[in-house]
Amino acid sequence: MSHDAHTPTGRVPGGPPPHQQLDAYLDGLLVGAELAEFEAALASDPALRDAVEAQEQIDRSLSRLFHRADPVPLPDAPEAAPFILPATTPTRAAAAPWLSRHRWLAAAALLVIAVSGALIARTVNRSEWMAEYRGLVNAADVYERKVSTGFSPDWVCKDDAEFLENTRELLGEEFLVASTGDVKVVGWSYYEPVMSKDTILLLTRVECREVLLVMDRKSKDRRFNLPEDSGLRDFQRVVGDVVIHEITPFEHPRVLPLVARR
Amino acid sequence: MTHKPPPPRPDSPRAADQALGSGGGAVSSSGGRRLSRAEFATEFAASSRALWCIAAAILGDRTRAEDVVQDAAFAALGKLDEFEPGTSFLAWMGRFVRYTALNEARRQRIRSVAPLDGVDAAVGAEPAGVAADRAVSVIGGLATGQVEFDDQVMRALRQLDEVARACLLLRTVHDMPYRQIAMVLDVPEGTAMSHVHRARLAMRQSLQQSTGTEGRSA
Repeated sequence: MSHDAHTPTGRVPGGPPPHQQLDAYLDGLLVGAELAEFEAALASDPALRDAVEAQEQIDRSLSRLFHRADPVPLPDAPEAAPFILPATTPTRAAAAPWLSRHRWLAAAALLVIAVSGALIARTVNRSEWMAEYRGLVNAADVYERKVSTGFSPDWVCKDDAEFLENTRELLGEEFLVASTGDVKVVGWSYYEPVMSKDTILLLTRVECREVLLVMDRKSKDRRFNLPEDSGLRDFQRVVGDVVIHEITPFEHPRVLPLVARR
Repeated sequence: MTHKPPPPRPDSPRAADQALGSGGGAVSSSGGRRLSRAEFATEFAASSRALWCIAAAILGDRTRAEDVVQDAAFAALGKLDEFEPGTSFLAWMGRFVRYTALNEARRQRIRSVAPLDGVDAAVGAEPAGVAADRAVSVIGGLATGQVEFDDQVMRALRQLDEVARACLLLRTVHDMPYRQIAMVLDVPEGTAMSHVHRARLAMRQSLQQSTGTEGRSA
């Protein structure tokens, strides 16, 4: 992704048509010549005008629906022990006689809970669920998002020396990925929390198809549960203290074999 | 081709200093010491509207959002020593709200609770004197009868995924900068922008289809 220092949106003058500038306009990011150009397009393009008016209407509705006048109150609590339950809440002694009379019922309830838990654990994709709970994202989602937004890198190393420097600084290991006739390194992408907040991505193309390398420290590695209907496969390789996953539409890893540790 | 070093991570202290505007997230004022409960209450009050929006977005339901935010507050209070002074309170609290909301959303899915019909009860007072306009006219291809339109907007919003909803609402309702959205939701800034772009497009398309259907049946 290129960034033109003179245009906050990074747009090259005479570049994308006004419809692709719609979000920038709505976000108030268009200035100067870009803004004038867009406003001129608004005046002459009914479809663009309709889109802007429709979005503004939607935005007003969202503001009505989700504006909250008052802050969320914190629950009341005793002043002496804020947010801690007072000692006078019902104790176990009061409940014990009931339990001792109905031990069989309690045992049956525990059995039902245990069986239900086992059934739920079988049906729920537990490792992805736990990963989501920790704020991590699915590698397949990241791949699809990158492809749908043009598979554009956020930065590109100008030479092997810079590539090695980056891998050393970001991952603690120096390695290169060789480009061959079929395999091209596209560039690096922002941190996506696939394995941790420090996960980084290397975008590559193999025979003009997108292949994503997901990298992090070996200690952060986890199993990726790629959806079956994604058409993607996950291959893994450990390089020193770094784990690299290849998320690919191919049957076999095509980029991992080209990773060479310095 | 760009040739530049990778940017700071969205949640790094350097990024936090750059991202926070004057009215945005609350940065701890503890100056290095552990946040007190009174300070927590102050920071929470300043951030709670945005946190409520995040909860409502993840749940797809405004009615349970307040409970989720309060549950998250309890959880956060038990981990005050994990809050790093100088970092964004909103981003830190946002994590608790996200986890709590995701758990609640999963519990609801397992219980197979049917989504609410129609528009949820609005939080906050309706502007005085606004009449429910049942007449439907069209501007820009969309219905303008307020109640029915809001209903359609809620239905379209529920078709988005949770993170996209949260990004869209934080941007639209709270005018939050993308960098701050990225910090609060723990996603890269570019991802937050992509989410908002696709969410806006999907909402417009969904509502255009709704209006087209109503037009044919009217």
